[in-house]
Amino acid sequence: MLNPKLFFTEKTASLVLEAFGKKVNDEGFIVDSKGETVCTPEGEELHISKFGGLKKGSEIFIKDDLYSMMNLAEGKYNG
Amino acid sequence: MAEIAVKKKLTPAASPKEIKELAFTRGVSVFLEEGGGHLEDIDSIFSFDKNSKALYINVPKLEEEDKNTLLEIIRYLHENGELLLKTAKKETLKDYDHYRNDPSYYHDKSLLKFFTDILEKDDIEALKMSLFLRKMSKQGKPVNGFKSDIRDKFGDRGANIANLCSSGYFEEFVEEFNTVTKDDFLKYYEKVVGHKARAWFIHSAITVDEMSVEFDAKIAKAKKYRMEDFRIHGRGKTNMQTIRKFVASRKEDEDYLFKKQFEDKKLSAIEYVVLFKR
Repeated sequence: MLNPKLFFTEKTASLVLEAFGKKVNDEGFIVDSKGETVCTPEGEELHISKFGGLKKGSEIFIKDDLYSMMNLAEGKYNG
Repeated sequence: MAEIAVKKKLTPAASPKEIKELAFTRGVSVFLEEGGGHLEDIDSIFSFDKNSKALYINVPKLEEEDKNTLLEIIRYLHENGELLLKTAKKETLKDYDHYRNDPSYYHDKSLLKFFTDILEKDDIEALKMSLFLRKMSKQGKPVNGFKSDIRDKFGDRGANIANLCSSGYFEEFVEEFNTVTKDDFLKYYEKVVGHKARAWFIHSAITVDEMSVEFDAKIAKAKKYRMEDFRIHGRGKTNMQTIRKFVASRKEDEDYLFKKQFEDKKLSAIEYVVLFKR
């Protein structure tokens, strides 16, 4: 069973992003220091409102939808 | 809300060490809060609940040094393989874990296995999500967010699969599958799932009167949102008969009309479209 260690809200998500040199662009999408959008394992750009979690591997950005949560629980994002 | 067992106001010199010690303690969960909630009335950078082993960080109140410590903590936890998760998803993850350990999961897993070599991968994924949605719905949990997720991911097709699943149709498909060819089944399946118009899948044991009540509600909703049409679909001899009786019982209406889309005796399926007159 998964045991998340750290929890963030939509408002405090920016702190998590900052820890990894990421931020949010004008359209609300998560970008790296070069301004390139990050992608989920499914290849989708990620809006801050849909940012569900972060896993090691090196950085696996997880969407907050049911599909991603199920994959997370099943270990599909394990590095 | 858990009672806060320890409330602390830290001096800047003390906070990095104390926060780190708590955050790195095994079994302690760290919550990055917006203020309010667990931290209401506490003029503090953090609060620690001994009972639930929860460390709540009041993010808006962080000074620069505290913030840098927190960034360090976040990176350290991540580096050590810890999962960082949106608070709102905690329950979903827990529910899904419980579902996978529930005895009824075996039935759902078998259903998925049955259709794996028959349906496309995306439909299987949509069905998988729908089975979990169905379980949560039966437990009385809120599922609207899940339904949106299925529709967002798999479109109208996914939404149709979710409705079929909730109505028990996939279990019926398994029973009937050996009585028809795979091609016939897939043609029928595609008619049902591939159609854009919203479908009302009639489940067993519904009476004509019950259909009437539900139908009126659907008509009201369709009119409100200016829908063009919706489908009424039923499988099995009983449902087919009920639908025919229902359609026959409705007097002609100025706002809509019924049009039979198909009737398949081999698969025992019938579908009407309710078309709104403009």
